[in-house]
Amino acid sequence: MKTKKNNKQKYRLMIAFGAFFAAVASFCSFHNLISDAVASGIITAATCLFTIGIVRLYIRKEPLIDEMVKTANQKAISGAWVLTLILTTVLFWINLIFKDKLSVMLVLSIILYFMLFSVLILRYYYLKHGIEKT
Amino acid sequence: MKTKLKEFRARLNITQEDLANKVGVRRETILFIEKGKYNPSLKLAKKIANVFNEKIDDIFIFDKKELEAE
Repeated sequence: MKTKKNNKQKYRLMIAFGAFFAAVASFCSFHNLISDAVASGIITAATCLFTIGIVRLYIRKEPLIDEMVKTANQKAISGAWVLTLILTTVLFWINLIFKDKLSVMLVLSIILYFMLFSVLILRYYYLKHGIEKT
Repeated sequence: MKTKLKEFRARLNITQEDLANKVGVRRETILFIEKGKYNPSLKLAKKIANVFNEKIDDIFIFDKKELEAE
């Protein structure tokens, strides 16, 4: 019961923050205080927050994150970490073989995006196919 | 681990969504538990058992071989 109450409060906060940030960004954009690109980014994010809050509070009255999602997240992060470690090793050998052809920026970008996308893909996989062994 | 969750749900005529709301999880989690693709935590198993006024062992059946293998 306590969890349900906490979730409701969380969704109400999401709606309030979404509406507030969208309004502030619109106001600032209207008075040319921030650039249109920044304003549109903030408004998009705020609208997403607002919509998720509305959907979760009034339409799909169930938690956004439960223990299965948490387990999937944990498994996805640990899996992505291992994959990134393997990728780092591969990049290390590539750099060693081709004598410093890879720049630091390139390596960091590859690692960052690889980890990010592998977490998302693994999370999607676990939530779609289930986690048989926990 | 096998589960009799679907049978108990049918007996009390409770939908997956109702059960999910009662124990505070998503409907998909109940679906995966029924399919045997997710093993719930002890806390969630207890909550589910409480909904049906049963023991955990009556709803979730542990295979001896599975227990010994791990």
